[in-house]
Amino acid sequence: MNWKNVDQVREDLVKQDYLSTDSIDLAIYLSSKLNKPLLIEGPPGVGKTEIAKCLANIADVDLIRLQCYEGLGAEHAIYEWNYQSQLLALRLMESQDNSIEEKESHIFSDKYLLKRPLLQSISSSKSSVLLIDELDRADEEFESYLLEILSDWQISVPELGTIKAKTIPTVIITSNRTRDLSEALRRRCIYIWIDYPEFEKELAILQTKMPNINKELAEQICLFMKELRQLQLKKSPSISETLDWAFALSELHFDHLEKQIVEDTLGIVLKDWQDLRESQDSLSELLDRVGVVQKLPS
Amino acid sequence: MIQRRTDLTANIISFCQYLRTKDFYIGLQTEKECLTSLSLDPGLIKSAERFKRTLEVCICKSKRDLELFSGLFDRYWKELERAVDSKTADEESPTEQMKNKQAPAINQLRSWLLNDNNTEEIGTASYSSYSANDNQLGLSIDEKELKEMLRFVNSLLTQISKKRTRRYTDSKRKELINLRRSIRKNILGSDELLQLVYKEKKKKLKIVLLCDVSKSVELYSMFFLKFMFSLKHLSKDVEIFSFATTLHRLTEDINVREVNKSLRTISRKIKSWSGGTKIGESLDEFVRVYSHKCVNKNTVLFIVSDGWDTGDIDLIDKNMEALSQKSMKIIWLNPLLAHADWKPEVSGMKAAMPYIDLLLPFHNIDSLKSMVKSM
Repeated sequence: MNWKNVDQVREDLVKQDYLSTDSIDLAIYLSSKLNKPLLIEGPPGVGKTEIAKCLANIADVDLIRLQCYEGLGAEHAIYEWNYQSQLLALRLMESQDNSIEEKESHIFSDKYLLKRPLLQSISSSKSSVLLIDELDRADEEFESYLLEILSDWQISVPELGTIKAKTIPTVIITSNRTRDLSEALRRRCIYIWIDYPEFEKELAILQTKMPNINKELAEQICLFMKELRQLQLKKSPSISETLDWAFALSELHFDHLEKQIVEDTLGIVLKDWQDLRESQDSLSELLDRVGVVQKLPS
Repeated sequence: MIQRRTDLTANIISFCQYLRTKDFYIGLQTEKECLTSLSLDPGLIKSAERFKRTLEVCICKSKRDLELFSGLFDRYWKELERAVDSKTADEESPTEQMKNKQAPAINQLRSWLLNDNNTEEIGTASYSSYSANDNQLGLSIDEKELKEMLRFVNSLLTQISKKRTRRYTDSKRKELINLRRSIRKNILGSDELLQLVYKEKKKKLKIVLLCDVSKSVELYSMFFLKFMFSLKHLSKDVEIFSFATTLHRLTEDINVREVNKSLRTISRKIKSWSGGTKIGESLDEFVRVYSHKCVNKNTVLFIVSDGWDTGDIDLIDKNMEALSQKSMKIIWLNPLLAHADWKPEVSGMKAAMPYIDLLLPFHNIDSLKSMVKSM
């Protein structure tokens, strides 16, 4: 990406409907110029993954995504031999008079190599954005694999030799901090922390993503979310929940919040039954603070 | 701001040096990146805010770094500005004598940058009675007793890990083939093993110790300390915390090879030693700040406390529930359990009881011995 200065990053992100902060712009700019992966941490749903999607759109390249999980190993992230096909190929070759070396070179050729996201991104001749999502879910051993790839941009396949990167992808790593990532990995990255947005920022995001939303409703939703995040919840609602809720309320043609509506649709915002119970107990107080006029029961 | 009389490169390097003393991990590569980044776009150096942000993006590698950075940055550049001013006055002074008089200002800055304790303590002496070299709490550990403790804790750890008898478990990772299960899976198909099943070694056990150091257990505090030291020495996967009215992480501070130094650090760190007890608040902090890092289904959580509590009981209930869901086992070690007529009547203990997997006495070496047996 050929940005000449930080302001161009902001302009490009705005075109993608992504409202960033100065730190995010600068981190993206520097990671691109210094050729370093971008490590993004923050609570779930604040737009970490969205950055990768926007960057892929800006550069008009493919987004290659590696979703991490516990037990993720090299065979799911880097490469794997197609064992069943190799076995069948050997069976088919039984009637032919091929030497062992020939058979070996045949079954360990590119045809039987299943390229997983990491190998795919570095062996592709076209540049790409590689998203390594929720790395904290993967084991520490996987981080070590990653270190090797991110520092040398090459992968060693014992049967084929070293595969060097044809193009260096833009790497975005996200983490929800369920565990701490190693210092070695952090050192190799440009780090940003994305937190829940302030009221004004959230309102701007809501109005950008949903230009037709009623202004009063949007303000009330953002204020309510702000108040909700002050409560000690197990899972605080994030921007994605705000957008979902706003979308639902608009679809139902509401132009302001009411206690009954909030009660009925709170499940869109809170995903834990204990959180739901606790917030329902203090709902009247919350709505008072937001400025929602509550009707007295007749 | 920084374009005074000193060189930008030198300033950035000494700023990095200063941050290292505040536990920032900064290598030469990071220093180089700071300088490269500033040269990329002239806009980054013209605005003070952008200059600060550029350094922040290049240097900070964790949330903790980000939280500390702004304050340290302001403090550093303010201090530098003051030193530069004094240096300017210094150089303008016509005589060598005057220069000598001003020299301490620069020395002071240097020692402040390198976090020299002597100068830091001058500042703190006025409001704190603690000094770096004192062991205010008079903590001490007898070496012989510690060795004995090490022996028993070792058998305790062996005993706990013996619980995991199966050496392998099924795995998504395609590293080790479980031949027996692979043959069974393919038994109805062809004579080829088309579907393979994999296995991996069971994961190591992690231990987390939360130890009460309040007044009510003061009698046993030396015993608890020995237990902490022994655990830390014998297991790599251990996290140690103390709590009274507040929670403290002691994992990094405990080192059997430097017992006295460790005790001094602990003594300095825990201001609430032998104070009141707020188990709920401490557990709450543990769950919020540390549990995501050190508690999972392979974790055995030891809580050493008598259960006396002056804090919020609901918090104990809430957080014990969370911990029991997250951890493999919660073992509560209570020194008062040695009394035959003991009943869980104190509110803290009552609230925690439903979530405890094992409640054991813990007041002397004999109780530790019987604990090993009961495991």
